[in-house]
Order: sequence, then structure tokens, then C-alpha cells
Amino acid sequence: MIEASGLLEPTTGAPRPQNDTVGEIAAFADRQTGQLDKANTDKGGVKRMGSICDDRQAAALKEAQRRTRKKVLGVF
Amino acid sequence: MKLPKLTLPRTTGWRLALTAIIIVVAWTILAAIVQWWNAPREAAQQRGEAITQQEATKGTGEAAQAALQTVTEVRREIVRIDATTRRNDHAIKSAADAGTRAPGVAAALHDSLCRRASYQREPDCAAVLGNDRGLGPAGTDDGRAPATE
Repeated sequence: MIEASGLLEPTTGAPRPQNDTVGEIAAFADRQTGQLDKANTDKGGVKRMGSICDDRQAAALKEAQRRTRKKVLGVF
Repeated sequence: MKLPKLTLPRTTGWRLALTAIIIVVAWTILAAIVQWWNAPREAAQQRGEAITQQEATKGTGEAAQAALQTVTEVRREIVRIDATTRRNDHAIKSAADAGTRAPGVAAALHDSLCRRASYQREPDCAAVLGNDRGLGPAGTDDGRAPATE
């Protein structure tokens, strides 16, 4: 599920400066920071999906155990 | 010499038959008891397996739905990040002195980026990496490639 989400794909580097002006160099720094934000967003998504899978699996196991539990006198 | 006639008691055949019948009946009863004893357990085991499978399937479905929602949220965040980048780009390039040239800094930045995994495969990085290994082509001894592409 996580593999199919595409969130594990590498985050590419920002396009390099197109000229030698201070503005372009500074804009590159900001672009690269944006890529860092994307990488961290992907990582957060993967972490959240992992937690969701773990939680759902634990809940399913717990529910299955509850439903298959032997009942005292067939009631409790 | 005449041998005495050997005759089995008449009751022996009946006894054998009766014994066989008793064994068959006992075996049948035993098999029935075993069947009666095991049947509920097998049924309970099958029921338990079915419930576990059912819950696992339900859990997987819920997890898939939640995962899809997560991917959607991540994509929305990526769109927001790109929008911020575009806005920042405009602000930075509109700032005073943004047009000031800094060729030395740009060249150093170019070479520095070439040493990063993200950019090493760029065609114009070959010379920089070659220089780093001492294999650079002639004319690039200063370790710098052109600042602009």
C-alpha cells in the first residue's frame, strides 16, 4: 500500500540557478527549501500510513479475538 | 488305531459371532463419541478462522481508504508548497538588488551542486567531478565550470 502510494519516490532537487544574479541564487535556495518541505511531507504521509496500517491490524485482531472468545454459559 | 472325533462345542460359533458383533458395536459407539466430541471444536475453529479473515479484510479495506485519504492530503500539501515557491520566487526576484550579478558565487554554487547526488548526473557536472578525481579535461584546472547553463 505504501509502495503503491508513490510517497517513497525520491524527491528531486530544485532546478539550478539559470543565471548568476543574486535574486536567482536566492530564489534557488527557496526552491530547494520547497523540495525539502515536499520530502518531509512525503515522509509524514508514509509515517501516517504505517501508523494507520498498524492500528487497523491491531483493531482487527482484537475484534477477532473478542468475537471468538468462549462465553461463560453461552452468554457472557 | 481310531482317532477320537474332534468336535467343537456348538456354542463356540455363537460366541465368536457375538464377540464380533460386540466389537463392531463398541467401535461404532466409540467413533460416534469421538465425532460428537470433535464436531463442535472443528466448527468453532472454522468459525474463528472465518471471523479472523473477515476482520482482517475489513481492517485492510479501512486501511486502504485511510491511506488513499493520506495520499490525497499529501498531494494537496505539495500543491500548496509549489504555490508558496512561486510566490516566493516572485518576491525574491522583485527585491532591490535582485538583479546584481555574482558570477563567482554562482560558479562556486554550480560546482558545489555538482558534488551532490541530486545533480551529479547533470551533463555539465562531468567536468567538475572529473577535476575532483584529478581526471578533468584540460582547461578546467581551476575546478570551475561556467556559472550559467
